[in-house]
Amino acid sequence: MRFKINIKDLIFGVAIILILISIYLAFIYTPTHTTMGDVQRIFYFHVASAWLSYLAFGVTFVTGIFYLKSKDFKWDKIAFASAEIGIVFCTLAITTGPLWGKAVWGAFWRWEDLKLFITLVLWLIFIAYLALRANAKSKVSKANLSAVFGIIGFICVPLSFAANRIWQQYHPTVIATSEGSLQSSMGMALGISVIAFTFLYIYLLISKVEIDTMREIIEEIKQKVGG
Amino acid sequence: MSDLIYLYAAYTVIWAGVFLYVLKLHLAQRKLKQETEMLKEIIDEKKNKKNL
Amino acid sequence: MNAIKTIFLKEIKIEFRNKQMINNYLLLSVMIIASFRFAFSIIDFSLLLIASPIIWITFFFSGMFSLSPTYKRELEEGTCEGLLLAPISNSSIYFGKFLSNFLVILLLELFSLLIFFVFFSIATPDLVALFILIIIGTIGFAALGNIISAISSNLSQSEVMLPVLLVPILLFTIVISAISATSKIFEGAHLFDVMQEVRFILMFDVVFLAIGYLLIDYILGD
Repeated sequence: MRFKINIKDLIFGVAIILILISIYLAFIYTPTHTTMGDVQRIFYFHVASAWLSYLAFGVTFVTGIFYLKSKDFKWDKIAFASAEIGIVFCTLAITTGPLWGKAVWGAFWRWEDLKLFITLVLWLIFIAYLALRANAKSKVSKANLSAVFGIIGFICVPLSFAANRIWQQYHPTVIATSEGSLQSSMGMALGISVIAFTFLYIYLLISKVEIDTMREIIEEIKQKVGG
Repeated sequence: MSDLIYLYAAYTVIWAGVFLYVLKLHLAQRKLKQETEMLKEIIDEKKNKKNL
Repeated sequence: MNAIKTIFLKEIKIEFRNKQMINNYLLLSVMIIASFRFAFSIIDFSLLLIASPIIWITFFFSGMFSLSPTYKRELEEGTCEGLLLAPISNSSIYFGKFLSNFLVILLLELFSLLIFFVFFSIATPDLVALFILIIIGTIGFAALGNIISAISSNLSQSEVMLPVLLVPILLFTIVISAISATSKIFEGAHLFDVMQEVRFILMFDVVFLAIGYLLIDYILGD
């Protein structure tokens, strides 16, 4: 137990240090973007948040499958924790995206832009996932049903992305220009911020799972003491 | 540069979001710790009563 | 195969035994189309542009109400245990119910389409292409709707949870492709011009049926 806490704190420390480094890189080390100006510096953490939400939802999907195969509640706890963290970072990504868009396109949102659209859909799907869990009647059915729903929701997103991309005429120009003209220093800054957020994710996931486990144990004890 | 306000806004959103979520987890943890302590007291009390 | 047929016939019998239920569904489609008609009567609009969204949104919401009792009925009337204990595999239950849902929703949709043409005066497009689109779209709708109905029947407030769970997945897979294809059909395209959309809808049909076949055990199991 003691060893585990140390690992958790270690991960938190690494995440903090990497975040500080990536803030330095994002603001001072990287050059100002030639066409978009300083506002392009949103890019580093916007992309990192979006990446984190995809990763988190992916973990929910995989642990959902593990749960259905093994019926071990450990996987269900991880799936739920990951979905919640995914929602948090997805929310950050879809609020910072429009702020950047407003500066570059002059509009907060482009409904015809597929990347924005699909991210919003993913957000809606996992909001629905949380609603499902809140309305479940028992622990077993909560775990079963939410695992099934998480799997369905996550499978459909890449398919829908691939399907729509082909006939969609509007390509997300901002992605094309920012990655097309991505200088190596910008690429490195982005890489560091992505790694930093990944560490942050691992820390948050461990904390959340620990809290949920503890809450369950306390509920059990309460029942015993009360009875 | 009027664009910079969006840069500030975006960074505020990101770090406020991360901070609030971490804070939420910490508060939840603290509440659970308090509850365990309360339970400990209750259990101790019960044990004392039994011994008496 | 026999088991699927038995379940299918049982479901169809229940749906049509109570005439009031079918009548209610039909009435609801009329109400939805009428409300669109009223909403669009006070503003300027291009009928050609809004026709296909109106049609599919109507299909979606009128069809959803017929999906919701599919599994709930079994739980409420206590026939669920009997069904699960019977020597029928869960996937036969799924496919049987899927076929009956498909038929009922298709009937509702054809009726809604008729009402749509009555309320909105629009040039009749290539009807064969339109029907094919409606049929393949409905396969996916019924396939996914069936799974989600099974999930939501086990939740509290299942009537609200069905659309909450169904909308984000269905609208952005099948319905968005169907709307895109249907609006092209209304503008005078033929089936060959919308093959891309048709292929995507068919892909999602297969995916949803496969998901239902693979995962229904886990939903009905508990």
